Amino acid sequence: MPPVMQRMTAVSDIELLRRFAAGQATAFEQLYRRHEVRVFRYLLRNLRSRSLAEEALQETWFAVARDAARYRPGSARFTTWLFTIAHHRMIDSLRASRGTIEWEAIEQATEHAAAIAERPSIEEPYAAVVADQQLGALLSALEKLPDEQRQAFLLQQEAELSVEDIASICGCSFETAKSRLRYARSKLRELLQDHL
Amino acid sequence: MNESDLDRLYQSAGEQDRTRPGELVRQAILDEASRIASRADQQRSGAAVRGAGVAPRGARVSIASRTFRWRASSLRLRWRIAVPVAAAVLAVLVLQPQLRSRLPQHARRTPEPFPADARMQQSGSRSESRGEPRTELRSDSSDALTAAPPAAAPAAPARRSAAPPAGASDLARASKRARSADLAAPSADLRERANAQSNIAIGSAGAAAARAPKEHSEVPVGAQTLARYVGTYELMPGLSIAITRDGDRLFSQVTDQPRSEIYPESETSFFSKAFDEQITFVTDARGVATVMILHQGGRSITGKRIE
Repeated sequence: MPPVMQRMTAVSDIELLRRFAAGQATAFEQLYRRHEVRVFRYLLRNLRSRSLAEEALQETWFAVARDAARYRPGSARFTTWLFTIAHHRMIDSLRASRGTIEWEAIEQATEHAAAIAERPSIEEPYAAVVADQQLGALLSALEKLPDEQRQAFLLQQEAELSVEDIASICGCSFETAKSRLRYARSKLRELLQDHL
Repeated sequence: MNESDLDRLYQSAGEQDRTRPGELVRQAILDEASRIASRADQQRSGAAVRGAGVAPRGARVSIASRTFRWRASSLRLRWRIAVPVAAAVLAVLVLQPQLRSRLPQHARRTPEPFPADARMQQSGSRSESRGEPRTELRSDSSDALTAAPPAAAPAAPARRSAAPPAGASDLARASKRARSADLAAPSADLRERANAQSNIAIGSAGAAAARAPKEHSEVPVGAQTLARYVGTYELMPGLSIAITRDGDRLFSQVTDQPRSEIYPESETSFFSKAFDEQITFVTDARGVATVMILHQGGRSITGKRIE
């Protein structure tokens, strides 16, 4: 089925949330699977730790499940509401995790170094390597952005939010959000020159 | 290059990114949602039964009588809520000054306020999540992990702390296992490579304030002994700790981090007053340190001396 038709026949997020609030668990699963990857990527690319991102993801969806009955469709789009919760969980997690060594990162980096040493690079298909390099470059470029700029850019890309919504989620003015986005995009274009 | 090139690159890179949350996390979320849904369903059916008791189907109840019952039940409900709330408020008002006076000075600090708009956006869910029990993740003999949240209460995720509880580290290990089983992709490797450097952060003023260091007693150690530990120790490629001496004071400095003084608690063990971390030096026959062991938050990592 073409994506446009899929979209037309799909039940809206708000309807799924309403059904869940009425006691239909399968509606929540549908809603979760629809947004899982984007929310997780948003958290992971900001927190840079898989375990922290998973923890924040869990807290985000617990909050969605708990507050589903209180959600009012007129107040905000579901995606805005969802990413608002995710953003606040992410900020909480960032605050809590600062000051500790990311042990997981150390372990993973060590494992990764060992895996690279064992893997004969000639066996890698060329296309996969290029795609990996592109993704690696993007992630590395995102790392170099200041937190606020990265958050604004990721909210725009992952949640497809407007500048107004981004400003509301990040707790800043419209102009500030706009300039964060402008700086983020300009810096990324500069860093990813070879890949664009 | 234009604006849409960047969006296109992001989207195509996103398609390459096979990163997904672990199956255990997904299951915990869906289980919790099922519990909440079934509770909502039970409440609805319970309300329907009670409603049937008040006004059985087909029973003739006058409008005046119905209005009276509704008002009476509404009034009872209000009293049921109002009385405990008033009692709780009164108790807080009475007990608060006494409790505050008993608390030590550092515990009386007002926590950093959360932004007002953020509080509004969260719909009060933040305070609720704090009080909930955490999801216990246990490893059994078959190396499989099972999530066992309490049946009555909603599960909450394990939260990372200075000394991670067994559940938190198990969750990390479980995630890793799940990932290696079904989500292994070369892109994940690259991501970790790109992230590894900036992932490592030791200490900040705020974190230092939040984590009370353990009790350590300082012992005098000669400058000659301290000099044997001066050098650079590699914890992993790209991450090292430089030990420097300034007179009879020793300092540790992690790559790209400010230096921090460490104090001796024995000839070979040192501790930080700013962070919850200890350093133990392993020396060779001449007494010169060849290896350091960094202990932080219940974990240890060994660094080999490279300079």
